[in-house]
Amino acid sequence: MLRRFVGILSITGLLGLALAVVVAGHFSTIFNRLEVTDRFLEVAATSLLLFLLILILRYLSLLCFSFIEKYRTMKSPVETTEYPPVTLIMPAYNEGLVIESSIRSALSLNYPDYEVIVVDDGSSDDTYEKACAIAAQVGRRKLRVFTQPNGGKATALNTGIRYARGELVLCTDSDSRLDRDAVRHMVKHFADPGMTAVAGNVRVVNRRNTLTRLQALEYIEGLNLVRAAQSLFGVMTVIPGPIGMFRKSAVEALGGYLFDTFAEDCDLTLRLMVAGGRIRYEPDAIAFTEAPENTKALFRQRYRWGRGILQALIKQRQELWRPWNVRLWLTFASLAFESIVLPTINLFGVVLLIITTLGGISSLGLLWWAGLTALDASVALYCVAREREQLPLIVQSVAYRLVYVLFVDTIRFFAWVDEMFDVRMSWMRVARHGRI
Amino acid sequence: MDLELYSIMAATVLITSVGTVIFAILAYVMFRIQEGRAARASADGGARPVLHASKSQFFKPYDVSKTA
Repeated sequence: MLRRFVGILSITGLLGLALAVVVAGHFSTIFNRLEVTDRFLEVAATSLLLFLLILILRYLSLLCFSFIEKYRTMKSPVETTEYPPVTLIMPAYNEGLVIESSIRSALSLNYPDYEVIVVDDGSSDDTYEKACAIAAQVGRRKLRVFTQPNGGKATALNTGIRYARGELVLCTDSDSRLDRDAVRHMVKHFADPGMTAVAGNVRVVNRRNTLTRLQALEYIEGLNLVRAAQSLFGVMTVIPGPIGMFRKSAVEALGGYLFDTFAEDCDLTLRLMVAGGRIRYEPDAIAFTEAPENTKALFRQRYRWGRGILQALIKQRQELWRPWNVRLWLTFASLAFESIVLPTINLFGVVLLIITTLGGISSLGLLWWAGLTALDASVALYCVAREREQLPLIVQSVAYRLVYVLFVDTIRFFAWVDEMFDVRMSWMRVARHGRI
Repeated sequence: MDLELYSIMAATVLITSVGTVIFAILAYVMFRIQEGRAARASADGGARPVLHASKSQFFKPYDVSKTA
């Protein structure tokens, strides 16, 4: 079984990369045959080829590292017979539509010793009342509900951590659902006393339109694959908000979640890494989350993420000069590459596409896009096999590179510009539809 | 014929890419207009949570008004 699974992963990964390399080679051959005389055009076409090679190298690294990590965990799985008490913390702000089902789902996990803490962050709807009604039914030993004046998600999470009885705390969102065995899968990593936190696997649940299906593909290809690769080195750039388990003492020692960035999860992750913590990714600990269903909501979410990640990165810039901390450098390099370099390449690629087309070598642009799409499709195939996801997601690869990635990267660009000029912004809560 | 198909495909890729970036720019313009309106409404007394840089309140007592 193991051999077969590993075989499928290897074949899909290698197939895709071979395809991409062939396209890159073809690209190079056409470029040489064109005999471009214009120096400017030559630089533009060479840059396109260089970008393609960088992206091939990125995917190659991600595939190799995630493959080794998968093989390592399958070959020598982490097991534990101890199940320490865990506290599941669920912050909620105006989640009246989904809070009942969220709590009931959280109460039905397959784990012997855990409690749920719901922190109502000053909701103006009936979130608190609904949570209290369930608490009255199930009792305070299983569910406790707190309410506080509105102070943001970070303060709500801190309240939960403060009142947690367990040494392990699982922070989640009230619009996400955990897989029944998620806690069991995450806890086993903490048998290692040096383990500080474990990041879970986030999947999009509301695959109702093309936009949410594209996000589903992005979550497995753009986020989970990166986390799996990072996990091999015990580093992590973002422990996702919907599912992250922490050692309470480690979070307390750092002063809990801070609210001086828009990405409190990324900020805490970086601070844990700076403090010397070790973080792993657990692909079997799954949280299902509701993704934005329209471009307006997606824009607001990604704009906030873009500014938040940059804020968290800038906050820790002095740590870059700490000598010989390879894991920390890896963390910063990975975050900077995925959040800044890669989007810049993608956007600059469009500019080069225009230049080459106007210069009469449109075939290069087409090949560039074809090469990237072939890469995306093959990596998507690998990720689908790895995560036992839906096969039709691969079809989204065509629109993924051409439309989705460009849209998201343009938003990121504006988020950085606004952050650099310190433009004020509000929290911009994403509207919930209660799909879970 | 082949060349024509090639050109059409290349043009499609280019137009879609540029169109997407233009759409994102328009979305940003709309967003800034809405944020500007929201900021003005906030100045007039409308309440919207705005992020302010501040230190952790982790060890400070929380105003937990009610618990269940």
